[in-house]
Amino acid sequence: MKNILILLSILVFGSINVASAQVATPSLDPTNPVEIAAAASWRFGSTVGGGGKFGTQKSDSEQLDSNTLSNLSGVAFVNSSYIFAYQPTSVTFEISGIVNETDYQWDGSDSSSDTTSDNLSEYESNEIHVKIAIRGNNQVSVGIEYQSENYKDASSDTKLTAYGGSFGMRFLDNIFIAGGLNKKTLKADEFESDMKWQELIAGIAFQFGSPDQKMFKVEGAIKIEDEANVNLSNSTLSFYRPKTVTTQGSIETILGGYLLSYRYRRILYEAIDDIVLDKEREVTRNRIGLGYRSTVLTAVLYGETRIEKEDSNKYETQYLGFNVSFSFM
Amino acid sequence: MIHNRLMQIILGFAFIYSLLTFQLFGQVVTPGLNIIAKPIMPAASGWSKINSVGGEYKDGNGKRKLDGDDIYNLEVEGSTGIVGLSMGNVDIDAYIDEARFDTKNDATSDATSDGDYINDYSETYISLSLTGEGDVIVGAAIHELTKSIFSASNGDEDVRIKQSGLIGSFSVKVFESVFLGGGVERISETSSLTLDNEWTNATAGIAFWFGQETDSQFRVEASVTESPKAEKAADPDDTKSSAYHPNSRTNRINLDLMINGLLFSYANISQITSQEITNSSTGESVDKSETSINEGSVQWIPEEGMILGFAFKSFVHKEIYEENIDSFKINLGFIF
Repeated sequence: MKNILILLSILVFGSINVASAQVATPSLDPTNPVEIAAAASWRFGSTVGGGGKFGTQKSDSEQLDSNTLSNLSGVAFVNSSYIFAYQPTSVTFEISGIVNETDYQWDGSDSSSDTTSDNLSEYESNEIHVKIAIRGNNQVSVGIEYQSENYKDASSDTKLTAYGGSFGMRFLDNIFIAGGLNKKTLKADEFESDMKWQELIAGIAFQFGSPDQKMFKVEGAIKIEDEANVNLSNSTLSFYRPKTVTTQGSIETILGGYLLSYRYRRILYEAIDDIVLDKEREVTRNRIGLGYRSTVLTAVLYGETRIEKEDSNKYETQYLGFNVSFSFM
Repeated sequence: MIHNRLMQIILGFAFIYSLLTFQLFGQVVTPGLNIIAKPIMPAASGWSKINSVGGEYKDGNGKRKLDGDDIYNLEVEGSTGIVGLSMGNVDIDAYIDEARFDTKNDATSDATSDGDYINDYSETYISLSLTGEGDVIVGAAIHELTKSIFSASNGDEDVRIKQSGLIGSFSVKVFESVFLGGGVERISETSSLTLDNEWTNATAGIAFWFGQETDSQFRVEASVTESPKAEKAADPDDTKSSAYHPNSRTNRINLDLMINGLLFSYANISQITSQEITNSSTGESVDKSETSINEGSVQWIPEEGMILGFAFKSFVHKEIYEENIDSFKINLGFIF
């Protein structure tokens, strides 16, 4: 029987870095990229913009039930992002990315000994997303996309690529549904072959009004990524990536030029049956946004908390970010 | 004996790669609502009265398993270009399909050879169909397949196989929304390794198509193709080996649902081929091989203008080993 090993750093891919929660329709903050290509069709024109974000670890004494041994005195997270969305006609192109992100991966409990290690390991990543979507009769949308992420920490250098397709439909002017499927591939020198898995996304949104007047939007979505594993080169060990289920919801409104938003996201990393003592891990993120949106300029400030839990152990991070963009309808 | 085993391997590769590029969308009686879908029988295209041009890129990978162990990693990459023109009662359709299959030893396999086999596949097709009185369409097509298959046992020389087909078919609208049709394809095969061979495939199908020429349509088509066994035995003084084409039956079903121009398609093909295949190392043998392909796609189809879509396809082939390949397709086209 093969020994087993979990590469915790893989957990970050495709789950944490996504900056938005826009599956059925785009965010009312046009600086946020859509999560599946088909949603880009419902953008209100072209946009160019960017943003920045930094986070700090909550001090160890404030971590509930926590024995987190690693204490970061300064910034625990930083990144910058960009977006270019071009919508000349019924076709929409969107290129977005995150540049030089630095974050810390918490290893939670040690699954092999069931003791707490609570270590934090620093990693850097960059990612780019390219999407193209076409809108038909102002009622349906089809999109395709490509994604590339580079991840580097002290022990590994990995690259994630993904491609997929999605569709969206609009009913009664205000109801939007969408679904998509992505194929993901993770490459690493340590792997005997590429790790591959599939991601399924579905969402529904209710959207009323116009962005240059009053607007309200509420959206719910679910994302399921399959479990995957791959053998290590010249070893009997294997890397495992658990099945992840992400549920998310958001409420956004534009009133008198002010943009208010709230987003909830829960990511559940299911325990892997093949691994003795492996445990379920849950990440909960809550984000609020407050900003200004005019016909051309949008500027939004975000505050966010992330709580990562395994058993009674916990790691919490707080974030502050901003987005600025210019739109052309 | 060695030649027979070699032939089994080569025919196996040739057969599998033909299946991998098989057109699923059941255009035997009626045309697929997906304009990138390659026709199978020429008369089916006559029911479509749109002019279109499109292309498709496909990329996939998978594994071959033998006795539960991964022995090969399989990679597929290719592209298709297709055009359909309608001029009154005359329709012309043509496509070209190119694909490359890369077969590598799996890193966990016990293979001692440095296996890396590149096999190329190319298919061309051009058809003419005529719409007559009484809702009857007849059509004819020229269909050509060429395959270049690496063979280490043939002195690392590629085995080149060419299949030239002549197709004749008809399609009849028997009731409103109900269509029947069929046709035959006479295939002549030449190979750099084996004697020339020939056989005739017979195909028949039925289709139900509602909402024709609107932006909300439903279409279902089922068809079957019988391909008979054909063999040419080599004389002792022949420089080439015996030729053998196994008997097979292919069943297809295709569902198209278009809502306001948004097309959802599902297709399944299952093929059973009667041929005895023996595992030379274990002695285990099977008397048939089974192939199942499933494909789901989504596409935007306007009355005029650009189309965009994608598809996911899974391929399973079982005999003494089992192959699984998943692929993704992107398609882009224009209706004018």
